[in-house]
Amino acid sequence: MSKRVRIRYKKGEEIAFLSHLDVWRAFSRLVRRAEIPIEFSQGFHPRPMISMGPALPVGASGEEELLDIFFEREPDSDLLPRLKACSPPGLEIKETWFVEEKDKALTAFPFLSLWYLSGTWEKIPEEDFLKALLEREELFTLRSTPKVVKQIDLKKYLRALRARSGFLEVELYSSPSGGARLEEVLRLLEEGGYKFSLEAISRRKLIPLE
Amino acid sequence: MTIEEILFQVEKPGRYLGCELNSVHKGFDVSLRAVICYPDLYEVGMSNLGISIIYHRLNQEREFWCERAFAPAPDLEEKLRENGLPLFSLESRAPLKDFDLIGFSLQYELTYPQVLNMLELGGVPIRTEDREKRDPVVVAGGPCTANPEPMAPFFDAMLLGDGEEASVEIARTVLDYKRGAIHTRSELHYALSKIPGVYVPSIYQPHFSDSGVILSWETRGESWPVRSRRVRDLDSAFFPTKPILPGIETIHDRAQVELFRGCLRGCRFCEAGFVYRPRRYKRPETVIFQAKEILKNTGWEELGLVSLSTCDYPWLEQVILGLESDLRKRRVQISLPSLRADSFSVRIARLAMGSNITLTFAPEAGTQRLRNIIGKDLSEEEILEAVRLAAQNRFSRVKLYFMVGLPGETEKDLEGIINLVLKLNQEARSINRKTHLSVSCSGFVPKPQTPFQWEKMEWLSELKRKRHFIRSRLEQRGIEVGGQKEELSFLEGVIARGDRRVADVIEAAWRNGSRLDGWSDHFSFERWEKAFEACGIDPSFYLYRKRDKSESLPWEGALYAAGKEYLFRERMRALSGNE
Repeated sequence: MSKRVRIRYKKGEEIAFLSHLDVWRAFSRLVRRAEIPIEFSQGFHPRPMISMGPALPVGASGEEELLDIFFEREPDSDLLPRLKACSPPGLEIKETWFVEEKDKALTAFPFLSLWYLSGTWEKIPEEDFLKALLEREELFTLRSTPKVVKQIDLKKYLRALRARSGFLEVELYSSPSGGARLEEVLRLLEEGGYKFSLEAISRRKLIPLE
Repeated sequence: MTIEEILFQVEKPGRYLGCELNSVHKGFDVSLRAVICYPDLYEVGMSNLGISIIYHRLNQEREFWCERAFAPAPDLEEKLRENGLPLFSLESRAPLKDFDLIGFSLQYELTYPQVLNMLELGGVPIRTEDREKRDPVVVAGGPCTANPEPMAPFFDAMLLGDGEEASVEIARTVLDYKRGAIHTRSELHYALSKIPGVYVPSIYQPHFSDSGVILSWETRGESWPVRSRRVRDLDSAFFPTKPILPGIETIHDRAQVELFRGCLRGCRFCEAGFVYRPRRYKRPETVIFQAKEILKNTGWEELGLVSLSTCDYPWLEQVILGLESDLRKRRVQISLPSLRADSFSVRIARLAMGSNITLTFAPEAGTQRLRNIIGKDLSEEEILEAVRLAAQNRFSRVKLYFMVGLPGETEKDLEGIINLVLKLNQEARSINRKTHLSVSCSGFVPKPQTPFQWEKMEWLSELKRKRHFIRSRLEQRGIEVGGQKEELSFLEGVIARGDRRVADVIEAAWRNGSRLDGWSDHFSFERWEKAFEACGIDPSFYLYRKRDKSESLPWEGALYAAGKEYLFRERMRALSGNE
């Protein structure tokens, strides 16, 4: 038992366009409505201690997202139904469990995530092409940040690709020090002659790796 | 492209969500579909209490479904136009043209072009005369209807005053029209004009002289002028205690409870002070109850106790103390806008909000003489004491509001602003070196429905010179001076004081590309200059001449609690230097 609770939740399609920070704010208000006292950070601007797992991009929904909440005291056993009762449209609390207060933060984990992108292919990539792509020694692409444009290798992040009519599945590895972006993966495919027009993004699975 | 695909390509798509907590979703089988529109971005419109009141009030009626629509950001507008898609409501994503009733909130003159933009993008003819039987009925409310005329050609009806009950009466009348009990648009207009507080522009026709002044009004035997609508008792009036919790951060992202409507100060420059008369208090028990309910239903971390002059609420301490334990338990901060520059306000602010906020005071003018003229009941000693107390209580930021171009102003009054600010600054810094003063200085607009409605506005070039003078002197001493761009005050003046012919200028400015002119990064004065020229309208006719008492003013058809005679007496008292 602990004051720290991990929550698995769904960010539904109807709120896919909320940002990571918006979802954080939605949770802080959800907990306020549930009237379960939450711990606040120290300092000049105390903030409710909700630490989010890896960010979803704006526009993406997520089936199994994760976050941690630090409560003022150990919450009662009715925590899950109380949180469920106060959830806003689009946020669904699936599961809660206790985590040691001293355990590392969610942001310190490497993750395996499974993405499901719906949309339309100009031409569906062949199995052979995807296989060859994944077997390449290196997968360099350009990433521009507000300050610089740098070259990064997606090889260690891109684990699997599956393309069919109407969708693309992507399995990605990420670590606290980095990961691949979906648009970078799509660019690799487009460079190979397979253009995909995106209609919806969903992170189906998010698995922390010990 | 679908709307969803477009939302992938625009900034902050969270603006267009529609399923926020406490938003209302009904079926398409309701008798009447209404949409309340705010001609600015989501984050501004969702901060407006009036929108929230009308939205939830209409949705309280089972047979109505009221949705929301806001101005599209420029990137969304571009995509919609590119793809031939209409502007949509948030809840059902229906085009505006599919609604029976469209209501706009008019809060600021520079948003008027956006009203036309939203209508046109939503597939609705912008002018009333072009609307046919199946087109939506388009109405407006909000403080700017105090002069309905500049927007007259665009609205079937305009509400003067409070909308809590009038909105429902308007909707019922529109329902009669939809059901065929009222046959034609002009019959509908007559029926709407029978609702107290409703101004129907198509019924009243101004006649102009060759020189452009209004000679007479043709009113087709209907009652004239239209008296503004007023809710008598705020305790029993509708107030939304389950308001929508926005999905993204808004400019006033907090629970809001109105303490009272109206103001007892009677500052002669303040339009709100006159059009919201008489002052009506909400009882402290009602305020406390509503505040607790809203916090429970939303989870907001801040509570705003709002009014035109919050420290004039007689039970303010009682309310704050009454809420204290609940707020502490919920870790909710209080926010008190519209404080007076006096020591009581500083004490209350310290009690309620702590010192980690910007205290904003509005001395408005730099000398006692000018403050007397404008009816700002505040002495230099009071301001000094307030700033001293702010410094003693370790407030780090104090912002002071002033106006330039006030009636009766001389160079000495400008010097007066500089001297007052320097004195306040010295006093504050001698007590607490961390207390910083900043100044906001904007051009005065003589607003309709105030004792200064007959005055001429200060020349644009003079407004610029005056602010520049103050800024250069204060910035030498390290005090920042901000304020509204003079061109904005100029346009605010023309539109606020304008007559029906100004509508053409508003339309032309919109066609030239005016959209979100209240946002400095989107503002272009040139588009307006071209619009004036194209319409053959001379702005100086509206701004730069004193109007005679005998002249018929464009807003004469809108009658508020302070009538013309009272306003004129106040004006004479002001100019003779009486408080």
